[in-house]
Amino acid sequence: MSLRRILVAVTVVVGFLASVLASQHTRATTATRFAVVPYASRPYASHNTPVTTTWFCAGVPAADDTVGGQIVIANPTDVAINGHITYMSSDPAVSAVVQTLVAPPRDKLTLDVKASISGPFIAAFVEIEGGEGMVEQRATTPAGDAVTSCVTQTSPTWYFADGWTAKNSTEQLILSNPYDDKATVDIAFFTKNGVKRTPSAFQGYSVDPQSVKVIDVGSSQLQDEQIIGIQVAATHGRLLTGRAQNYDGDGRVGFSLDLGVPSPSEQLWFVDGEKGDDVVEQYVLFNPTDEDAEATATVLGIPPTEGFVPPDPITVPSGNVVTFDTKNIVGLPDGPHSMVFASADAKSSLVIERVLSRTVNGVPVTSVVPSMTAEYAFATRWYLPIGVDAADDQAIVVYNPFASAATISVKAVGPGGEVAVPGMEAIELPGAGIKTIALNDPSVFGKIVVVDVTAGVYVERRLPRGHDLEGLSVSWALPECGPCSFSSPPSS
Amino acid sequence: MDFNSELVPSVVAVVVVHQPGEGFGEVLDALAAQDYGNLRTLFLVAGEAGDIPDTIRATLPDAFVRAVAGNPGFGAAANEVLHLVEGDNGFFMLMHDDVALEPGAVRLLVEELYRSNAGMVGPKLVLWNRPGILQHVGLGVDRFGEVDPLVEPGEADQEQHDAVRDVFALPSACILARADLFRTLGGFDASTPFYGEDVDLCWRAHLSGARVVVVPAAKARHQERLTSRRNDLPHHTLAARHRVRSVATLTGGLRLPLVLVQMLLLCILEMVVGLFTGRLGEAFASLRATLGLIPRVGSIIRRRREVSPLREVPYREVAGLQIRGSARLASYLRTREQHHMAVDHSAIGARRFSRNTAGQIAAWLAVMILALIGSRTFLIDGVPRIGEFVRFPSSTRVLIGDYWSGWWGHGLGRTIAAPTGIGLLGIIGIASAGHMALLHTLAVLVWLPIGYYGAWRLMSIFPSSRARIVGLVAFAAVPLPYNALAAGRWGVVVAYGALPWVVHLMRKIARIEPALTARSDTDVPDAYADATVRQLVRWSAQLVLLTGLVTAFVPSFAGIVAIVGLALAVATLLARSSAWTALTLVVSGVGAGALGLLINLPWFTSLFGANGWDTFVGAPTATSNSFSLSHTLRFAVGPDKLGVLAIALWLPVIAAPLLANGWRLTWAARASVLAVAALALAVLGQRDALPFRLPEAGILLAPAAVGLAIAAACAAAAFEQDVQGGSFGWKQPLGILCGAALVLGAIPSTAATANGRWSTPTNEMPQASDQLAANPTEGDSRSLYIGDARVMPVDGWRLDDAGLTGVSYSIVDDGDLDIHERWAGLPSGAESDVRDVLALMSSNSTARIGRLLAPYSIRFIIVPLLDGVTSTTSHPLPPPKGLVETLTAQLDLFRWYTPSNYIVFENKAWIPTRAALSAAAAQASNEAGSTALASDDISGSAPALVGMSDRGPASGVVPAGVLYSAVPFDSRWHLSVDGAGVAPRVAFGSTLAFDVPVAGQATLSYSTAVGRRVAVIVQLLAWLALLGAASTVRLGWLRRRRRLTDLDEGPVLRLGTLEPGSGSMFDPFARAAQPDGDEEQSDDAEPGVPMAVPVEERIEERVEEPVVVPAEEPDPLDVFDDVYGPGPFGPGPFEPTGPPARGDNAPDDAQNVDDPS
Repeated sequence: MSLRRILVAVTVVVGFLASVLASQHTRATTATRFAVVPYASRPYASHNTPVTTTWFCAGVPAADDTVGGQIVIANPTDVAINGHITYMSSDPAVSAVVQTLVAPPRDKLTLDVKASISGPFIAAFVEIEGGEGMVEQRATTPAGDAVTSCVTQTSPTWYFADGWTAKNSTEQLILSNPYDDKATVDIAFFTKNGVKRTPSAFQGYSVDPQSVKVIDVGSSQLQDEQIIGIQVAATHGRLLTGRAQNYDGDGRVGFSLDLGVPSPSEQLWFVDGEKGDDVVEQYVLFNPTDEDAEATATVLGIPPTEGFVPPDPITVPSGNVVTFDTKNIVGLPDGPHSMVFASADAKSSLVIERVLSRTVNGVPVTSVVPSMTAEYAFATRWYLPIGVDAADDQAIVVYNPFASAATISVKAVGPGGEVAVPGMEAIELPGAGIKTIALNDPSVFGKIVVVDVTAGVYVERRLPRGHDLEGLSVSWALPECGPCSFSSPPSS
Repeated sequence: MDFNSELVPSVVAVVVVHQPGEGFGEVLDALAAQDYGNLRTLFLVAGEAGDIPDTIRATLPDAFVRAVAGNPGFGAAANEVLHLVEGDNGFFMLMHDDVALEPGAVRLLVEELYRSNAGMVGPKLVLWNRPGILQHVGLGVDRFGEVDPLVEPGEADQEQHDAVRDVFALPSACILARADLFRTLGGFDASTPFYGEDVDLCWRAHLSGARVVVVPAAKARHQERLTSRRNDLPHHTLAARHRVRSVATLTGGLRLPLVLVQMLLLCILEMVVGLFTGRLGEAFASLRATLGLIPRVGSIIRRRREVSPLREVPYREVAGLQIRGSARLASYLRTREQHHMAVDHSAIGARRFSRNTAGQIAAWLAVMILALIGSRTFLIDGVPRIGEFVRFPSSTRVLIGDYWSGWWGHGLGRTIAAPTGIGLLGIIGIASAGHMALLHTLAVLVWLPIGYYGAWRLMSIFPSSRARIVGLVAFAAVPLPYNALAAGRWGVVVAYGALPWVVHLMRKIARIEPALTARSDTDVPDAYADATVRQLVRWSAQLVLLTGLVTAFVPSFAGIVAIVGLALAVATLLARSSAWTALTLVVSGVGAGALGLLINLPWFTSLFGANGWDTFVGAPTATSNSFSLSHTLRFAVGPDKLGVLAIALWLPVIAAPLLANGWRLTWAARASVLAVAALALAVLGQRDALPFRLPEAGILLAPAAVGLAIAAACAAAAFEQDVQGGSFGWKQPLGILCGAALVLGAIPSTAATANGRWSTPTNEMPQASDQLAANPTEGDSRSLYIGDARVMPVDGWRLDDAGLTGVSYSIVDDGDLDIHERWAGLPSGAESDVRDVLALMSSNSTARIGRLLAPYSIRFIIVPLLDGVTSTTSHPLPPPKGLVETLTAQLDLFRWYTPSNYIVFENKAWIPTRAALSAAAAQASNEAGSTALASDDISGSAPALVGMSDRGPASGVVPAGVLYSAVPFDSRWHLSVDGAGVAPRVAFGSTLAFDVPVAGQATLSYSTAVGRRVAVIVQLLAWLALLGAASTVRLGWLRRRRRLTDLDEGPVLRLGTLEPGSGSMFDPFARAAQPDGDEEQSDDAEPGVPMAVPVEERIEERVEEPVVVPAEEPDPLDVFDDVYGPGPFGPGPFEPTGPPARGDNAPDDAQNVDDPS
């Protein structure tokens, strides 16, 4: 074989081998990605200085003089915040109203919703320049007030675990569509024994642009039910879904107004649990997924107790709602505790709400809160934008999910900026410990309250029901979530 | 017959000599052996003389030898006899240097000339080495100038053609012409150096009434080796051009229009036939020559005027001498009936289709029919709008206007050079008479036959027709273009069609030719042909033009050409061929790539900048590892049916270097290296294994297609010449295996033709632009396409640098998408601002993205989902993660229309492209910044100047207030309201607005910079210059007219009768009229003195004085009459008083004449 032929043949073979070798090179498969899916499992504040921040509020009842509500825009910064608020009414005849607003620095701007628009229910969304402000709503009803944080993102899906129409209790779904495009939703109700009801009236149910629709759950052949899981899934558009519950019998009394959660989660946290003779603490577990789920309930924040037996894993079949009562936990001591529910595997996820009824003067005052998810465990700064207006001995409940101790500093935002509340500059919080903090100092009344912690914590707040009613309303404080890692799956 | 040699008329044998071959000695001997008593010889030596004069004088001591500058061709050189020989009384024997006359030939010719009263006579020509085989017995010519050789190839001389007869033409190899006639005719047409000079001369002789007669009794052997001796000539081109020129200048005026039309139709028919016979080059040359008459109208008219005095007989008589019908067709039909003949049957001026065309016809028929079958839906219904097959605008005026303007309307528009492709399409559109839809279809499909023919031309490196056929079939069998058609990858199809030509031209520039010997060239790595500088320049210009043309549409092609040159050079070195050849190849490749880009200036400069590389290699796409080596090997850039079989086509890449020897091994090396290099690059590119991105796999694989074809042809040639007939071994099975692989590998491509649309999606996906009205009453607007780069219907800008992956965006005007969207270029400042807005949306920084996009007049945001190719209903690609959700979460976007293949959001806050701003928008236009924009409701503006083209101008009534134009601020935009100018200002931080003080009639216009105009003109001139250099068309007035022999050299001979015993020119009429006494002749430069010094020295002497022939010189015919009796002319010089009697002379007359022998 001539040298020419050898050279050529070798080159060709080398070329083929090089191609084969190169073909073994595995490049990182990169899925096309435009954005982190706008997904917020729970309301949070972010100070990432976006161009504008839009806060969507669930809506408040405003049918008559006995009910109403406010939108509170908290501005912790030292410059005024400009923005717009758009009120939307559930009255189809009433168009949305847009107003400009200026939130004064280091202060709150409280807007009465009924002053601008009328309707049985009024929802609003607030657009503010930048990302520093925070928005909450307060619903006022004869059965008590309810404070709910507004949320910065809408979702095409919403879930509620605890439905209650027993006796004279009422439950209303508030569907608000802040967009110029209509939203179309399918609503499903899950009752005991996994019965799924999909009333035809709520399939392809349309919510007009910039409007609110209210659905009375009890009137949808679901009266006198104690188990109602709800799923709202938009086939077109996005929306915001809240739930107004007015309890009146069968062990529950009071008013609760909550946002739904946009998706089931794998790990769900609660801080302000309590076991006692006058307390009924239930966790309602709803599995809207197609897979059966198994969750492990873990009691947190209790001292080592002899005889305590961790509860068995709870199985929640697909489409079922299961109630877990802490009184069934063997050896659980009386007093406060926190809870976390974790799915046994990544596939199963749940929607869980805590229903806690404290009997005060013979009246079981009920509060309902959804869970907080795992990513907020890293929030080291929590806000109480509405704050407190009077002394409260159990205003804040903090749980440290980490093993190491942390230090809490409670501050109020006033004309001088953030100022630590006297005596609350450095409150020790042991690892895996619970701390209940009183806000009795007059310097915090009417102010934006900030809970600064040296490590990530969960914070719930207790609020008076108002109207001189006994008992408390409970809701989550608003976490600042710059460092949060939103690892939850997209909601669609 | 004995005759008095002192009385016979003078015959000067004029032999044009140029690098004579081995037979030259026999030519000289034959001349020396002539028995004609008054024969003198004049040798005109063209080119390097060497020892030719000595050789001549050794045989013909009395011969005159003169040097001719350069090598002007036979006709032009022979015309020198008009200057070098004085007198009209005698004959010129015009001869090639490869014609050996039989001893009595001259005498017989002279005798018959007198007997037939002819103007020109010629001998019977037989093959040089086989005198028993006829070569020519005169030539028949049809009205189109086509030559019918009258004898069949290989026809034995059995005296069947031995009758004296009139013919239309005589081969210039040997013509005996009356000197006065030759002088009257002006000799050969000086514009016809080779091919056709004989037909032209004889045609003019006929016009003047002279007879042209073949004298078979006179015989000569002729080598006829012009094709091999002058392989530098474009033989087909020259023959066609000269033929057409003769027809145009010599045909009668009344007949000419009809003849030209017929000739054009014949050319078209010939093109069709040529397509199937593989002689497309000849057909194309013919067509080109015919069309080339248009620019030559001036010279044609001038020559007709020159010829006009010669027209002594009615043209119908001349036409009557021409053969009826088409000589070409008759020849073709005759040839088709013949069996293979092993003789060289080529004839001067006679173009025949190959005698062995069955395989070629079958191959071309198969390839073309399959291509037509596969393209039938495209041809009937038009090319579907998938991928890069975007429509062309309905008007070429738009394209040319866009190119001429300094405003490029793509995206948001800006002052920048428009892509060269826009201008080219505009010009081509003019040629298509505005049939843009047809042009669109052709622009997509024409690259298949162009590629096939390029491969066919390239395969001419193999002298075996079998190898050429294999090469053609292998190239056509590569499924790359069909998969590319299915995927809408126009760039790939273009690269496939152009690359065979690139390699072909590189080969020509490197002057590589096949070694024609079959087995004695075992160790010859390459054979080379001579090429003139002009040819090299022409081929180089053609290569640059081709590269520039394709680069205008596929920018990465320039780089591909460079890579091809490099690969060929490396292979050349590996095959141990000449380093100079390798250098030539690499320089031609790199140079063509560079110049190809250069002629795309000024557009090319607009591609420099950040992400400029993207404009060359195309937008990046999110990729997976699914495109494996197997996909690459089977060219699976689209849906490939039975694609795995195509891998078999790679076998020759390995086998050819093992089978081939000699120069074929060199080509095998080139083919294999080219293919493997392309394969490796494609794999590397797909795997992102290089630090930089490469063009899409299809474009990278186009050189591989060429390599595969060459390898297959090489294997066939090697099998034929190196393997077949040898002792049995592994090579025979391997060669057979290659054949089987070719058959197997062709199956996928054949299967792809089945559905008639190259497997493009059955139903054309509706495009979003179809749903969006152009110029709606609510105002002009733009659409923002954003999505996965793989399914974007238009070229976009990447968003990767904004922290995203695989997402592109593009901005288009309302209305249909068209070819304008093909050149995204680099985003302008304003277009980058849009990217920033999208980045804000990506980071969830606002829910008012519509307001931020409103100043750019973006009304619709379109997310493509399915393109029917990459993303299909059955295998959809998901939209970029978070995109639809983010868009849905915007407060001012409305999900407008949602078919399955895209999602359209309407921006409620949009501002028309030209609008009278609302009060809020007018106020906001004075601000800049995202926060300010997002906070204000700027909707409600009123449209203005609806329907204005991107570059204006437009007029209309505008109200007082702010007239807004959603283009980047540019001071070249002018607004006049009722004749008063309004100064532009910046709006929304980057766009354009005019504060109109009062309502009125407004005109908005753009003023193109002078520099842009100059740049366009310079570019146009550059392209024209390249076209001129690349073309074989030469303007007659550019040609330098000059004497070929030395200017001051006078006649060296005078026609007359030789005086016995005298070394000087004998004047046969001296007895009647002595020369003038003042005609002194130099002793050492006396005319008639045989050359005794080298040619060069003779040229320097230039001392000959012309000998003036007295006007009253007696006619030599009188003298000749004494010998042969009175001739038909009667007394006096040749002065045809009327048409000579035709048809009543040759055979009969010949019978009445004693045979001089």
